[in-house]
Amino acid sequence: MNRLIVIAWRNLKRKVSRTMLLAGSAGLTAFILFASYFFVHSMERSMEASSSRLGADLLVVPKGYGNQAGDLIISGTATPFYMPESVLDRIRSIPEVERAAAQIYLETVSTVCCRTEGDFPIIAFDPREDFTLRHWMADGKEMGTYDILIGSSAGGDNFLFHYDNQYVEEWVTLYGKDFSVKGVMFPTGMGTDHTIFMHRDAANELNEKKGSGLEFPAQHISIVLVKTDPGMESFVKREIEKLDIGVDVVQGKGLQEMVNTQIFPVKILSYMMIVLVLVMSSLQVATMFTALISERRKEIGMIRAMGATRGSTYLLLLLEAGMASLLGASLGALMSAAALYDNRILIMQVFQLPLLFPDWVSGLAIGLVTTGVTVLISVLAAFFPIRSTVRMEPYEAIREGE
Amino acid sequence: MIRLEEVRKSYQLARDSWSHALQTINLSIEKGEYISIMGPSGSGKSTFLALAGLIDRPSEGKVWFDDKDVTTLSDKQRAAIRSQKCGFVFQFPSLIPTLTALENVMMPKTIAGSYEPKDEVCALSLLEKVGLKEKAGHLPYQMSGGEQRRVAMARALMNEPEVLLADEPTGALDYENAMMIMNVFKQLHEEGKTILMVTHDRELAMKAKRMVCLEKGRLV
Repeated sequence: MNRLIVIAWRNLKRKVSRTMLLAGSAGLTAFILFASYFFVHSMERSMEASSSRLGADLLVVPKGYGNQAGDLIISGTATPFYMPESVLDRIRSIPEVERAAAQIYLETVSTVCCRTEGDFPIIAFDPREDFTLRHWMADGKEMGTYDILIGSSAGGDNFLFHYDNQYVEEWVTLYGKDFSVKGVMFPTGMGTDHTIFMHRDAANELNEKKGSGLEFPAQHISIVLVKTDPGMESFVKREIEKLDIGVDVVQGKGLQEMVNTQIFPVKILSYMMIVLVLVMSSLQVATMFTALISERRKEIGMIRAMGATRGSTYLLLLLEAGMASLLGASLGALMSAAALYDNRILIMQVFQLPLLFPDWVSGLAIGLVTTGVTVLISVLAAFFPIRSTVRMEPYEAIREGE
Repeated sequence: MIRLEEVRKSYQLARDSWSHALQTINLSIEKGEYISIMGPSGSGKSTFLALAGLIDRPSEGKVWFDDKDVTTLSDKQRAAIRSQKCGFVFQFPSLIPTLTALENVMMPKTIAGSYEPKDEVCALSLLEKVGLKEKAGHLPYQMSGGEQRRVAMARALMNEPEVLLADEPTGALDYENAMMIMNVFKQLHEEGKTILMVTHDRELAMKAKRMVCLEKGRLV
């Protein structure tokens, strides 16, 4: 086996043009495959984030505002309604509650955010406990008290220009205080794209400060977003209602389902494209191998005449196919990764798609899977043309190869 | 050692059209025999050699190798016999173009899966035997046709075969190269190897101990 690998490698090394052709084809496949899967993965990650943003199992609002709860989440309107902060602790005391986070709807302010002028609803949240916005605080950008997150339409597009540049900061003045923009949320097509999210501590601080312009009842919150244990939504809803704390409880499942329904065709289309690339690549490699094997038919016949079994002949030729495609696919995936990571800001701006790029570990995993799949496809595609020659008697292969 | 019994070989040219390369061949070749097969082009000499060397199967009849009917053996079994007992020298340039002379000579060991580092010494001594030790690292395109043929000869001997099957081994070679190959055959015959040589050169054929003639697929 080791010796066969050496022979296969020499065959590749000394037939550079043939090897380049095979490796190039595999490289191109891996490049497209990596890019396609990378986009799908980015989109799914982004969808997961969007889904979390809307994905609270239960929304708890002050009594009488239940009918508006879903609309508020989708539209991002800062409707001033409040309930005591103690509600949060009462809800958390229910064992089936996995997470609960509070948000305060402040008000809509007219300001300039990242050179974008407009009326932006302001919502305060606590980054330490909020599970609906945590995906947007990725990439190690920790959120301080005077940092804010902005929607794509609240200056987010401009912020993207220097997203990765830690030395350039965007500042927004809210209630007489300067806030640093720490993250941007990608478009969801909903009202929340205009929203500015600030730290709850900052909101409380400004609320206490005279003349800041921000006023809301102290120790009060607007909404509690609840994530329950799986399948316990209805049970927890009843448990909260039983607490009799003057709240309305709305199930949030419908919002998530709505988003999922909208995303489904895009996901299907993306996967279809991946399958098409794989089929196209298989046909391409098979065609190429048909020509290459036909050219080497005499050589194969001679190897068989020397005593090679069909199995060892397959092994030698498939090793060549596998090694050439491994070389090409690794390079293709690497180049694709480099091109995508290097131009990610440009891609986000050009495509205007909600993309959350995978981290390096996920990128590496995608690269490895892409390379593996490309090699597997090349070997499978090479198998059939090889079989047609290997099945011949050695003398027949020699005669046909002459 | 090799026996062909009522052997026929036909090739289908079209739906109802067949070419009969060999017709009812009966021939026995004894162990250690040096035999030449003569005949004009298209008489079936190469087909005969292919059947005797187990690189093709007859359309009808039986081929016996070491008193064993090898016609119906599996591909794996036939490959094992070829690997252990047969060595081939073809009429065309038959070296693998991407391997050096030394690697080509070692190829039978490689594909048999029995390669050991000491085989390199053996391969070098075989190249020395055919006068090409100094070209061990050359690729086929860096050698002349005669040299390539001599490397193929060394390769055929790598597995120490009992039978050497040569198809026009001196075809298109100059006199000097042809004589060198014929001398190796003579030496191998003296060592007790069985040699089957296809040629249309009467002078070369006469060097064998027995000569058979084929014409239109029949022994004459």
